[in-house]
Amino acid sequence: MNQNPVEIQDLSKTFISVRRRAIVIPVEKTRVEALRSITMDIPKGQIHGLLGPNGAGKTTLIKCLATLVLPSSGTARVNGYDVLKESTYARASMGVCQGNERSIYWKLSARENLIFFAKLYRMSHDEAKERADELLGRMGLLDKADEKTENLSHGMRMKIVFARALLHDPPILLLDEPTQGLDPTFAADLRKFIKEQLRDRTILLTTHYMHEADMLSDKIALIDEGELKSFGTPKELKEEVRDYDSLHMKLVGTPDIETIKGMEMVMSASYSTRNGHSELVVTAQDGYELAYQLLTLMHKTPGVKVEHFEVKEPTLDDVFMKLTGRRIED
Amino acid sequence: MEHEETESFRRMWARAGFRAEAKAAWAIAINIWKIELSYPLSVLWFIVMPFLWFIPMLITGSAVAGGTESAVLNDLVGTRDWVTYIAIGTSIIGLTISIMWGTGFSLRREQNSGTLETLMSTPIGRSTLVWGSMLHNLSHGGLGVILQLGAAIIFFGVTINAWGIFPALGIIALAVIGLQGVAFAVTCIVLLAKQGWMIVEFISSGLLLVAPMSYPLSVLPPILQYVGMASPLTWSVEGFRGFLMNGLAYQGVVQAVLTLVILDMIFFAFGALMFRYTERYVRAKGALEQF
Amino acid sequence: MLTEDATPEAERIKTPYLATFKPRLMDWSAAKVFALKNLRIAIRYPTNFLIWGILPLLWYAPYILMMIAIAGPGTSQSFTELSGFDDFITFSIIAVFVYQYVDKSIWSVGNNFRWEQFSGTLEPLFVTPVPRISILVGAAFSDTLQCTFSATVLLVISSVLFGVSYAITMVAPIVVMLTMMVFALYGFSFMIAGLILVFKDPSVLTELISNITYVLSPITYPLQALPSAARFAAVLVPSTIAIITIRELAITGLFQPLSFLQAFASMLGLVIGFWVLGVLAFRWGEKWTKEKGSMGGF
Repeated sequence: MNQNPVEIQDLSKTFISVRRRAIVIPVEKTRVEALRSITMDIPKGQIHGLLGPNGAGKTTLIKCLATLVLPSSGTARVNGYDVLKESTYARASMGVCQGNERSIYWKLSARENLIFFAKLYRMSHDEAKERADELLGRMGLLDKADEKTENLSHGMRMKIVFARALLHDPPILLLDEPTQGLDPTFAADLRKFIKEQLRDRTILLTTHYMHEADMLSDKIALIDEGELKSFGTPKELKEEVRDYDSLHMKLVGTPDIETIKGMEMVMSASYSTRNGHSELVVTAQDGYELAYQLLTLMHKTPGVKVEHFEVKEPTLDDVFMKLTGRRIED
Repeated sequence: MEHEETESFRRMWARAGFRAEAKAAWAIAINIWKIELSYPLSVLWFIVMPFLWFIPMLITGSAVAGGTESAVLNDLVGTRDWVTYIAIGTSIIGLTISIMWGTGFSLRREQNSGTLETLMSTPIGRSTLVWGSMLHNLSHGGLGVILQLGAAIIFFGVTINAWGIFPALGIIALAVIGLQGVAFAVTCIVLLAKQGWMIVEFISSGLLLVAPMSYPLSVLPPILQYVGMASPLTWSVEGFRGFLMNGLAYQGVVQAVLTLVILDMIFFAFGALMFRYTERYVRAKGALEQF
Repeated sequence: MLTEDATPEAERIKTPYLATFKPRLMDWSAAKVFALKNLRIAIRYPTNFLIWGILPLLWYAPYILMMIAIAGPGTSQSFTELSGFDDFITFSIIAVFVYQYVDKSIWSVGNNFRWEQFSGTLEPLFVTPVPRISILVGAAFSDTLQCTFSATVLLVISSVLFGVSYAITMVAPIVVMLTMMVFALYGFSFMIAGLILVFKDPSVLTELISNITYVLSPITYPLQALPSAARFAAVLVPSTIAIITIRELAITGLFQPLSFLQAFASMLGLVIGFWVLGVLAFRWGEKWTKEKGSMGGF
């Protein structure tokens, strides 16, 4: 018998949309498999990161666990409670940090927002106030407690959203991209908080920031197009690409990516354009031999100039690229 | 200073002018139609709405009149046929609301969707955004007028004078100019005030109250009669109904048209100026995307 | 009240909160908390209360003016024969007052979840273990209070403007009938809330329901003015019986126990019927949005 606080077994979710002509005539049915047979357990007291690009299915998984979306098949249990059959118990057992700064009431102050939600968890007014003040203090927002949320900064509002998830001291936390859109200072604050003050909780954290997943997670699951591609500790995952070198090149101009992919020693290749420069990332067994061949190729390609290159230690992005053929940020 | 210019930039620059603005306004109108038609309920509402607005008036009128004729109305305006009187007068409600609310809130809707700043950063004129919305609402409201009048004629025994149709359309064209002035003013209120919709509701409901759509002006208290006479909507309704009930023999045509033209010029000029200054003020405040 | 039976399987983590937690079918304290939250937010828009007392007047005045234009000021033989009342202005204004509750239940209560959805706060609410019905009831409480205030303002202003008066001695039975109507309207608005969660263009749906309800309601005309099929449908609208009864009491000042009891029994039937329908419709709407995954979208 499985006794993990979070247990997911073959969880799938398919969204069906129907395109119609003249309002009533269905002409095309689109099926989007947002989750495909996800199986995952999170042991007590661990932080598991769910890393993947936008549209991979991270938020859909969180919403299924949070009982906001009905899965198409499979089961999920939170604190031993089935999220479909025992949904109220499941919701009582978890705190969810999901949604952006608009998920709080802007016409209420930070304290009023937290007291309101605390009361929905059956706290008395005094208990709710005490708890709200405690959390606001831990978030460094006590001096702003009575200001209307509409007058606070984006980062402060996100801290309130985060604090809300902790109101009833839940043993399990679902954190859906909690640092998205935050400036580096606020984001670092939140990560530090999660790492240091929530070590005793069981946490599922979704993110598309590799360094965040790397820094916070005991184990990481890589997800793409609704499927779990790989699962393990950050170290284990990087070991999967240990045999490969990753060459990063900054170029001016556009390289012929198909030719590069066709080179015999190349395992995978991708490029993206940022600020007028191309960044080419190529993996191969021998990074240095690859560098020689690529530099020769770039030299011969008109309009392309190599500004910088380096052979790097494998990152989670390399793992992702090996598994899917593209980078997380693509 | 030399500017780097691509071919597409040069082409875009060369096309500046009224034609480009008109095309842009048309593209906006089509875009709004596409969005509206993607909601099946909106289409249903559009078809059913004229009936739902007219039927309570019809039932109320029947309850008090006991039939299709009214001696009291005859004393007031010279016609016994209250059904036709009200059907024609109230058919303009849809057009009025469409233009005031639809156009007035067009920028607010873009604001709420988060697309306003993007639109404002294109090279089209700022007022073109409002004109584009107006084109949509004019077609939307115009179809509503036709639908309601058509339904009234087919189902409720309303009769109109066929000779009056074209001149009545001319009155509508004049009405739109005045209403567009109001729509510009409404847009300003909406951009400035977060609860602007309440002010707009007051203004539009007030204008509709003093317009002789389902009753003549003389039924209103004297002070409201003066307010009514200063509204382009009043003369639009009078002219529209006058032509459709009396055809070319409509006797109030000169007064209605002249007054309407003057009021149109005043309302349009005022509305356009107000919009110009408000839009600049909002941009100066950096408040375009706030909601 | 307990709902789900927890499966006593795996070792579960117990916190002080979880140790005493039991799901409930209806959480009255959560409803109260939600109502207070809504009222707190409403109070931060103080002009709302006054405006909602005056705006409806601008909407109903055209009907009254139309009646005056067709039949002359205040009275009409045809109207008297049809309705039994000889003053259509007095007749209409009291009905307008009662109808405010219907309007509020459609536009405010029915749209409450939509407003939460639009604001981005619906999913955080649904993630709590509070029964959804409690949130709906809380929203309804808050809106009833606000409506009572603004409807009273409307009644007073209209009465002064049009020079009408009503029998104050009948306040008690009027309040009883109003309360029954409000309860029935709660169920009605739960039904609308469920439909609105499903349909993406709620303003149109709400307009449709609002206008159909208005047409069927005997506000500016008696029930007898409607075609017979429509009369049957009209009686199913929660406010129709209430409008007829309250109007009779307020204008005539006469209390007839038998007919009042009949009206009360009919209202009770409507309360039960609409609550069942409303809760079912809401649950269906909620399930639909969960399946589609569109809970947080608008």
